[in-house]
Amino acid sequence: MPQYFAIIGHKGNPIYEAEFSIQQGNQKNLGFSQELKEMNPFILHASLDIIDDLQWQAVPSNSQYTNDNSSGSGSNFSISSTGGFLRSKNVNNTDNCYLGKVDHFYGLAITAYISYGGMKFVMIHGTSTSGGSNSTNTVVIDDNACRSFYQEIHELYIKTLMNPFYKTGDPISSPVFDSRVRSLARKYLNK
Amino acid sequence: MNTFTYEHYMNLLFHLDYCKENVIPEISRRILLHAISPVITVTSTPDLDQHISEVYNVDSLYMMLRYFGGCVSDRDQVNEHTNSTATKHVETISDQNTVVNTNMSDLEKVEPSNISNATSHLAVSSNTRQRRNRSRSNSLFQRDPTQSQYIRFTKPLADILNTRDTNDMLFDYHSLEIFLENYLKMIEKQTTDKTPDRLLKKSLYHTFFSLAISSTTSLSPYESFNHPIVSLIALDISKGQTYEHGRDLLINFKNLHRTVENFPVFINTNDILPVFLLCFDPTSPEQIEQCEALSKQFKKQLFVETVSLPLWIPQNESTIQVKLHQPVMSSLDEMIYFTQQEDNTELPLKLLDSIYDILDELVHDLLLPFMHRKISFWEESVMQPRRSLFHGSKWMKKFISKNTHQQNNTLVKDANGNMYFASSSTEFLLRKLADWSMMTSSFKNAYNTYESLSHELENYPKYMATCLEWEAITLLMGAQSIVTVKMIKNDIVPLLDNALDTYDMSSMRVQKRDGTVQATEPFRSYETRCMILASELFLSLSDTWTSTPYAIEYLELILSECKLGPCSQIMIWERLSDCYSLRLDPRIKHKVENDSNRKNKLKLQRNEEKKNDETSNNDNKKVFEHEENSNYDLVAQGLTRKRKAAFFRLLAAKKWADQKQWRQVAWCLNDVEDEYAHLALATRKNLMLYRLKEDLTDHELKQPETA
Repeated sequence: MPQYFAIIGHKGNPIYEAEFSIQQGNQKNLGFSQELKEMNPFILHASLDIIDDLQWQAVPSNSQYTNDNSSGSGSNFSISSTGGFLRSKNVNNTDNCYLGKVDHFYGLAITAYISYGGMKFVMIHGTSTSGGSNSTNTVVIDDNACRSFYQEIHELYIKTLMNPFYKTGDPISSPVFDSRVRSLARKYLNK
Repeated sequence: MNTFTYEHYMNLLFHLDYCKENVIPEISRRILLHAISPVITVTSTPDLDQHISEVYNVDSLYMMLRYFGGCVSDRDQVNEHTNSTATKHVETISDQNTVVNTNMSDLEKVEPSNISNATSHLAVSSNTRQRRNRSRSNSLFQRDPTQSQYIRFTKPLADILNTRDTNDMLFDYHSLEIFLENYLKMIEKQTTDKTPDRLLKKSLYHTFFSLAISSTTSLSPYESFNHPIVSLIALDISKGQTYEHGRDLLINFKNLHRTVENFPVFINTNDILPVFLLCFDPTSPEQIEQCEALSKQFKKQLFVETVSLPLWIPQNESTIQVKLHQPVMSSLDEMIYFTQQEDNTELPLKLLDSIYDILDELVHDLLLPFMHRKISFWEESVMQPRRSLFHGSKWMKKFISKNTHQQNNTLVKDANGNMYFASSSTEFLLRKLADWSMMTSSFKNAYNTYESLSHELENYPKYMATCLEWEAITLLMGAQSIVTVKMIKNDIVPLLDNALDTYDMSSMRVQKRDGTVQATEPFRSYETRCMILASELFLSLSDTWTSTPYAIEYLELILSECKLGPCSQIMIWERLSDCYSLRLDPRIKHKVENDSNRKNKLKLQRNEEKKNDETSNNDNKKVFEHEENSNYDLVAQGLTRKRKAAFFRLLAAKKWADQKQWRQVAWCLNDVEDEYAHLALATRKNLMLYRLKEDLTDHELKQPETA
């Protein structure tokens, strides 16, 4: 299944974008349809509303946002049990930058991760059929892999921040950053 | 300018001066009350129709009276005149008074014996005028919408029955689509890209909404909202029509079930109040006298009430003519017909006043008392016996429900092989009791009746579904101010979901029986009505933060399940955007409103600044930027869904562009402009927004060439 990933700055502008498509056995690229390609940044922008909402909630009450992925337990938490980005005082789990599935749009699922500096890492997960906007098959997200992907991207991002030539909020144009992100995507998302 | 009224809002396309007004969120409740308001059929004789078409150039009495449907106390057709010549109005009123006075003095001079008649006639009119003054207020701004009395007119019952489809459709997606296309063409003609579109779009949606939830021509066997309640039988006194004519017409009406082939079993002419309408010439004392005598005779011998309409008012060049507007609600076919051609019906102002006077009389003295009488009769004869048997105990109900299960023969088969409850069956009487209570705005009563009826209808899913639907709607209508999250979750949503499931079940049953997908369409129309109605009522609740997700859910369900035409679907997409923009946390509601006002002001200021000085210095720019990015947004962060709203509006724009509705595209793009203004997304050439803007400019460039 294809993904569209973006790092969104404080003013809602994307500072980095990438689309990952799958390479299947017959070497056929299955990316997003042209229609969705034109729409993806707007879909992400729309879901920022919900990310903002979750960010400021101590305990998200709306079950709509919880992740239904029930594979395994323990570290595989769902948001409702841990509190949002602002930690609940009863939960000691510090690893809650990952918000899980925050939104959906006609078969596409949207996951998000917030850095401590308030940058938003957001990703649209398309269906393997990469159908149009009316496709109703919802994507199943592997939370563990997704979280690991985001965490490594976070690390990469912090390394970029440490670059004296980089100013926070500017678009990241480094090809090294891009190739690392893509290899992480291959590692975690399109196994 | 005059005050903004309900009619102005619903026909906003024809009152573009009001485009910048605001409308109350409860508007959908008013529209619903109008959509289920009592239906009055108008029967007249061919002579009278011909006379009317000669004098007023209107095809028939029905075609004339249909303009007067709506909120009677608003007198919106008269407003049409006062709006255009607000200053002249005072003169016309005094003019009118003098006409009445001279009429009276003429009468006194001509025939002293007529004095009592004339005074009694005038006394009646002054009474109605008094009452009118008391109740006359703008229905849009009334705190309690239930105070307004709406009515709808329709064709004679025989005509409706003859043209009736046998498939029990509530409305037909295709006609709705044609209407929308025609209406959009009218919008395209009468507006520009710069016309303020916010209210106009809402009005367009509500026109669409009102057509989907109401009909004056389809007689549903499962509910009685569209069944006529009053039958006006008109006689032309000036053409010498007498008691015998009236009597024959009444007999014809009462015998409809014998004379009309396939008369539906669920209609009972005894539950329709016949009222005679005598059309006379107010300047002729003989005719006034004749009216008095006839009304006495009708009452004494036929037990039927009469209203008299001074229809044949002498006209000359100085008579003020008022151009009438289309009624707010009408049958879909009529709406389509009138969107296709110019309508230039004009009637004298004096006649409009008289018609509103007799409608006032008809509604308050005859229609409402009749409904209340029937309601209390059914309450006593059908509802009470059940209540006293049940006594609220469950184990008693078991026995009763067992008994009712055995009575499967209450369903009657009609000529087309459909099984319906007969009009005299307890179930249908209860349904009528509930519907009429709803129409007279006694929601508590209606809820109780629907609730008790729903237990009886478990074996009849078609009836059950609409019963559950209206049970939920009574809750939303009646308990509007006290609807809480808990109530929505525990009462309203389960009822609605149950109703939708039952509609689904009945459509599947039909599909199994008939083997065709077409057979399920009637239920789909009910289902669509249910969802569109529920979502609108959710949006009219005061706490939009909790209620909008439900509205969104139902609208999305319509999009995925109902086979609406492309324009109708885009209307729903736009409504989704409205839903998201209404999703505001109550804590920051005022702040966001202030903020948007502030931003608008800044925008205006900046535009002026631009005009004044093209090369304005950078300092000013910085001030504006700082103002715009101040902490206002921080407070609202996460508590609004503005970005979602903008995205759905953009989607709608794309879909409008696919349909070549360029005016709508332009408006949608105007709406999203602010939201995307500061983002790079707006200017990226490979994205939707830029492409749409390009398509729009291409179209605009082509436009003058084709013109």
